[in-house]
Amino acid sequence: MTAPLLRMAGMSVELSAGTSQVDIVCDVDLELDRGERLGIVGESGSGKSMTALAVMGLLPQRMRVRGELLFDGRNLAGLPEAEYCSYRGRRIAMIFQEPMTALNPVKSIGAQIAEGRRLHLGETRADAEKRARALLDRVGLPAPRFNLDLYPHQLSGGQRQRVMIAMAIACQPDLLIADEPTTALDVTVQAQILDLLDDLIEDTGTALMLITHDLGVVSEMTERIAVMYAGRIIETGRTDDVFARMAHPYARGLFAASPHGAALAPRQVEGRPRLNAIPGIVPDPFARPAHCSFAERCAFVQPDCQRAIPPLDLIDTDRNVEHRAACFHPRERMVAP
Amino acid sequence: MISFIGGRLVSLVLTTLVASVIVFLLMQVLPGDPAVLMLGMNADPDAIAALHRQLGLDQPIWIRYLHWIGGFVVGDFGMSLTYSVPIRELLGPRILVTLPLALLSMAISVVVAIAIGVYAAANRGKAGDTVVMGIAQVGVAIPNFWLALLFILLFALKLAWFPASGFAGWEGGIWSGLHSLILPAFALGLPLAAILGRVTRSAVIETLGEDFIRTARAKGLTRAGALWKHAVPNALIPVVTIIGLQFSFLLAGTIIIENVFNLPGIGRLVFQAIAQRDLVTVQTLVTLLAASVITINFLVDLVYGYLDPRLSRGGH
Repeated sequence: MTAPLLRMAGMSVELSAGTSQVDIVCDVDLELDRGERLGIVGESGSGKSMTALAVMGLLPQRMRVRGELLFDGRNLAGLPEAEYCSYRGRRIAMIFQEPMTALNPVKSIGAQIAEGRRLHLGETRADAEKRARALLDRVGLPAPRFNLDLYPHQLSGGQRQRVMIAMAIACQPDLLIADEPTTALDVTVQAQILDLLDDLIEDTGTALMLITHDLGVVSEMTERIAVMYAGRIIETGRTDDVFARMAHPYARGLFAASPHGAALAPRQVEGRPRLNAIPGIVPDPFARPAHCSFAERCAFVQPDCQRAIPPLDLIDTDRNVEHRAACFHPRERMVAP
Repeated sequence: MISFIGGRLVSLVLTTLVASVIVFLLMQVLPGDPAVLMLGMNADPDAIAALHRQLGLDQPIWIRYLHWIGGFVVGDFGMSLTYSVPIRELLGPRILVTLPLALLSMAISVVVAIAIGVYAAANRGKAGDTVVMGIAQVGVAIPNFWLALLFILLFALKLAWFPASGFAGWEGGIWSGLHSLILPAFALGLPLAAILGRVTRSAVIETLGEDFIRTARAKGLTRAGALWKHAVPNALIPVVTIIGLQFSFLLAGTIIIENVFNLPGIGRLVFQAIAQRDLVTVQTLVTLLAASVITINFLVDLVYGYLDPRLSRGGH
């Protein structure tokens, strides 16, 4: 078996605030093979976006990566900036959440798409623009309606996100990170953008790391998922298996709290189905407990939950993919067939 | 774009006309009869009346305005009361001093401001930022004439690199003229650069926090690449606004600086005309200065359209 494309081993993201340090992301173990699709889910503040930015080497200033972050056999943690630049956009690309502000308002979309190819592949302006034209066609923005000399303000949110996607795939990266790529878009446009992403991944064989809080999106787009809570992975496995069992109480809560999950779950009472909110709030990163960080909000809490941090234990193996959960008392009953 | 420029041109002409009316009326309400000034306090009333007729001062005010502005439009500004020569002849050689001085000061101000502003923004919170912005803070507080005196002491008297005053003229070649303008241009431009530099710094810091900078970095641009290719072009929009506003300060500054360096320019002419109550000359020069400020702001509007496609190109 060849080495995975991306391998995080005991990776943490440390934030220094004054004299104190805190791990925003703790001890993450995660692998991603070439062409594989991985979803990372969790609520705001769970550390999912920071995990993505850690891979890109674009963490905010006071944060740094500890542990192993191997990309194609090379440890990216502590890689010199100049070398990192040759990975970004070339081999690892990223699509951001806010298409309205993620494009430069004073540069034409053609120039912005062509920029990466000129930078990494040394193409001339003419060649790179020819390629940008082909990319725009590929993401569903055909000429003459969508010319290279358009500016972002002349496009809608969905069209801008298509431009972002064209920029990201311009140099045929090995890994595409999409951080909430559809969250800011209308529902109908969301589906179109996801279809486009799905298509492109299928065609190019690029690996996908999809970050979202939308369980519907992960279940459609990914083969494997990792559920994050308070900076840690608390459940991971094949998407189908995780959805079927939801071994970690937090995963169940997340599921019950989402419209997608609630629609699948059997109705318990007659009348309008209600979403179940998870009681309590995510612990502040500076005041995370030394035991299971979900214990205070957990409906199934036991005395031992308040004594230690549960390791990410193997609970099942399906088609060579391990299903793991960080819970002392994983749920057994299936939630969905 | 055409209608954008057309609209701006119309407003340029109208603003200039309004400015000319205000200047003209101000000159009328100023105390002091030019004829009395020219002939002396003890002049014969008949002679004064004759001079009034000769100067057209016996006409109603609106006739005099129309007469003046009509000539102004075709470039006939009338006669200077003190020099008894057409004002146009006074202007010619002086514009060749003031215009290069203004442009040079502007260029110094813009280049220095962008250099220190971008440098400080890129090194925000570090020692370099503190030092550069500390110097700029002092620069904001320094009046240009005091800086001019310091420059004369250091670069003209002590080091003898530049002349302390006077203008060598352009007849001896570009360098001979430029040589006498360098010290005045720095004295005029640097205090403006201090203000503009602070504006540049905060504009660049603001754009560096935008999402599209992160996009540029995700594309593989270095920190410096994202700064110069993506942050600075966006930050230039507020900077250009301030450049337009500073132009009027710059023209006011030429009046002072031309007097300090004894340069035969428009500023010095205005100063002398005011002192000698040469009202026709004053109102012509002030209107011309107002027109040039308005023109510069028109150019600023055009530059906006170029810098920010959102203004010159319609939405979807």
